[in-house]
Amino acid sequence: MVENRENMKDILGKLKRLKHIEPDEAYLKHSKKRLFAHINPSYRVGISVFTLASSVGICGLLIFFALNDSTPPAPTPLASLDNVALTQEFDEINLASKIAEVKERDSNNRAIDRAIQNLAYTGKPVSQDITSPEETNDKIDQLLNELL
Amino acid sequence: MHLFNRFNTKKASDTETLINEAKSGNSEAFGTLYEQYAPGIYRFTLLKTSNREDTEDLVHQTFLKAWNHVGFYEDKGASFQAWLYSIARNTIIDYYRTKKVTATLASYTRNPLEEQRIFEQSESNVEFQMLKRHIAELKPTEQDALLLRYVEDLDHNTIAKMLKKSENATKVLIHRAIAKLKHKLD
Repeated sequence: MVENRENMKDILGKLKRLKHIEPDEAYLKHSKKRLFAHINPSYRVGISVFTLASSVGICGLLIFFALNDSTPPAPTPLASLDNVALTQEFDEINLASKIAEVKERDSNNRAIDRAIQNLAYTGKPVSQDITSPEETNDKIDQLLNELL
Repeated sequence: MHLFNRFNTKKASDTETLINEAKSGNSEAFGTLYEQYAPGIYRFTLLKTSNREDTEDLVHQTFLKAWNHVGFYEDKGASFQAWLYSIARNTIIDYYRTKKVTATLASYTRNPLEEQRIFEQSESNVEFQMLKRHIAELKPTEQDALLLRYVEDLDHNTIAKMLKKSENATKVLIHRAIAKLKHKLD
């Protein structure tokens, strides 16, 4: 009888040791948060609004790309690498240099004509450098003024 | 003793206030009740399921159900704690009924971390292994009665209401369970 009671106490003692089983603190905190995510309406509304906003944003981006040919924009070409612009620029420079050349020849021709005329009238040789038309022209003009 | 009684009365009063607040939709109050009762529900569920992952899921389900039904809770002789254990018990039954899981305490081998933790907390792992195996061999009602009485410290009357039996029938059930356990351990 006494032995039986001792055995009983032993078994109950072993059962009571199972009380030491406890969840860890980290689990309890996590579990409580998880529970609150379900039961707290404001938390739920917050999550819903965030989800809705994210969805709208993503949809907006997708629509934007879809409407814009859905391909990423090509990189802006450098002006110096634009063949058409380069050709046009070259043509313009070429034309400008030709005009300048024609003007210079014309000026030289006029200077030569005036010098010949001057030589014909005065008999003095002209030693001016005809390669500088502005200077030559000025001197010719001065000579002409003296004559007139 | 007088101070102890006053402390218990104050604690009961606080719990009652928390329950009333939870019933009126105060989730913070329910959170405090959760902190108070979750360790016991966790332990009871773990000893019944023998699996940590299942236990965590089942404890979550238990408190979610409790929150959804706390408005209907009335203290008709059974405490809030007993009400929670009843929900946990039904949740475990439903879980295994739907999942058709046959795992018992005897097949408790899947969670070495949990095993290790319990080993550290118990004085002898071999003793613990034997004990849980023998408990698992008892009938589910005997397991419940034994665990609720000697691990969760519920009184006979509360357990009787939970199991829908008379108090005497519950005492007999517990006595029979201990006798079976003793026989197995001898």
